[in-house]
Amino acid sequence: MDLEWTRPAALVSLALPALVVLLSLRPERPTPLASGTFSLWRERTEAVRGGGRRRRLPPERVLIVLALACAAVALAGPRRRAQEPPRTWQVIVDASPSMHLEHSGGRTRLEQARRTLEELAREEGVGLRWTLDGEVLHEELDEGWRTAGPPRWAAFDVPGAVWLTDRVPEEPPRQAGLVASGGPAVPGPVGTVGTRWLDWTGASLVERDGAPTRRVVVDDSLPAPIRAVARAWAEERGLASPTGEVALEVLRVEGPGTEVLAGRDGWRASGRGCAAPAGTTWLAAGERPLVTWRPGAVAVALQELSPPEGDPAAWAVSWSRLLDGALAPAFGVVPLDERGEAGEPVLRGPHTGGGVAPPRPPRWPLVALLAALAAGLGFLALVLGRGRL
Amino acid sequence: MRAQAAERVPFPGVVFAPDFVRRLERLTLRLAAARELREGAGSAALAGAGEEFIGYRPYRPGEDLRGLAWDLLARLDRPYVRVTRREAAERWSVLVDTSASMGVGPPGKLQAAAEVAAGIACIGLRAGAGIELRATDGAPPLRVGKPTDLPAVLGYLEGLTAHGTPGLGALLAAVRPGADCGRVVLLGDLCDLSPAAVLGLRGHGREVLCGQLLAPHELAPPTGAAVEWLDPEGEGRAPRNLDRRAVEAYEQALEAQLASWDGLAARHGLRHHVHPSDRPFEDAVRALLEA
Repeated sequence: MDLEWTRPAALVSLALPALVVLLSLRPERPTPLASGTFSLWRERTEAVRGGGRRRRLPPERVLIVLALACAAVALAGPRRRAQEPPRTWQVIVDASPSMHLEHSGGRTRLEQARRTLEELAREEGVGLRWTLDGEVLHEELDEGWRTAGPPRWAAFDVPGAVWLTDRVPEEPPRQAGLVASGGPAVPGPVGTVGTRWLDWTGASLVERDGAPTRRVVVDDSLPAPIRAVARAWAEERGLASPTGEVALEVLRVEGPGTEVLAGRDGWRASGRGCAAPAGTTWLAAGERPLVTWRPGAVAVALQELSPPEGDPAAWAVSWSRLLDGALAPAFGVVPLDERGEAGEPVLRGPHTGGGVAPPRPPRWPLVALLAALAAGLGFLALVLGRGRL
Repeated sequence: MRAQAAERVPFPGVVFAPDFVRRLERLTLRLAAARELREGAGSAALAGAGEEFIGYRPYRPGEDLRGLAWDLLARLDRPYVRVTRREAAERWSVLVDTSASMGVGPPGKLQAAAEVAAGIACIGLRAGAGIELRATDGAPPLRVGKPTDLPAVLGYLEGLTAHGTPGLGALLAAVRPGADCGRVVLLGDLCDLSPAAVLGLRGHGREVLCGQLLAPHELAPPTGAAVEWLDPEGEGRAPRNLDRRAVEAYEQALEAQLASWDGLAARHGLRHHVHPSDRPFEDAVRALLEA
């Protein structure tokens, strides 16, 4: 039986029954006794051999020794060792563009951090569940999620979670583990200006030709005010080309709509809309999201929209900020602050509380059994001994 | 040294309990009453082989044939013994073994012997006999003759101490009772006493009473223990496991010794009584005087 002890120091008390056995079995020292019939003893009986008689352990003494041993073992709190199923760490992947910068040996910071984490997981015997901002990544980490940006770290500072990133976040985790690849500064593109790259050399910013042509896709079914401001913004940003890499899609969401009234940044408009898909909500009517976005896409759940009331400039500035924020960077562009040095590598496993391990079987049955056995044996010894103990 | 002596002779002295004199009085009265019931008035306790004829009693096997009533045997075909009253002026000699082996106990054998000696002396004084107390340590004897001398008797006995090796055997070799001594009482463990020495005390119608005092563990050794037996009168040590076999061997040897004394007593008209030191002294006095 695979046992473990809650109070292993109590096993020292096993010395007590052992001591009782030793004392009981030690050779008995003869009791000096004077006798006027000394000559009869000397002449007619055999002398003691070996200096004394080795005594036998009487049954009641055997019982009391067993009772003491059971009590000592019960005191140590034995319990069966729980067979823990393989544990799993939830990996919170940092999807910042910097994770794809080169680290060393041809590996990216992401690959370096992942390799380090997988080694740690192997040593700890745990499995890994890769997630991106809480959503499980069922497929291999690939290029598809690279524009997602950093997760909401604070939401995942829980036992059993591991943050996988390239540098220690401003708020380091308390409960979650942390695997940071670290890495040197990596000069390169930090943005595009039309078809020119804006490069960081490690000391300054320079422009060079060769940036890919990029474009914005604006859904023709969008309400007219929105369609107009999106196309005007694309023209302004040089993204109105009919060909090239798609940098942003502004699409209408189909669905049963109702009358809505919404507004922000100094404008207000009424129309008909439904609920926008998950993402960062930019415009809402009460609890219902009407416009949401994620890098590279803006979802508009408005089928109709009246001309906005208020300052027309406020309408245009408001939408241009949304579209600028949702514009996906060109492939290879990494923000300047992320291209900087990522610091030293960090490797720290998570706390394992929080219900990762299954509940252990209660230990009272074994302890209670031993205690009852000790009491029973002790009682039997007293009955058998009747004061001779 | 002192510790070793105490180990070998753990109960060397004699101390009478405060109620001992009262017990003596009670014993004396009860013995007298029993005697009157059994034999009628008179000092039948003194009945023995003296001069004054008082009757007959059945013969006991082993008794001296010189006391046999031959005429009754011829007429009745049954053996009877002549019974006579002792002369009033007779003397009793009480010899007490004070060798070291008498200091064995508990209770101490010398203590028990002193109590029995006091009982016999008290009864003798009440019956008008002169009492001579003598110990084996060579000290001068005490001779008394009046009931009021009982305190002197008790004082003499309380002064005894178990020590040394001379026992009753040595005392009898050195001192012989006078012709006027009608009764000799030997009190001790009789370990060093030869039957020949005891038989030599007979004669002149004298009665010989042997009180053999033994400690409880001498009569019935404890079983299941390991004991180192010590010789109280020497340096001997004998470690023994008191298993059943060893105890049985000892008990058989002791029983043979006691049986030989009983046989000797029966054959030669002596009285022999084994008295455990933990029994009341009254038992021994009755057994020795009321046979």
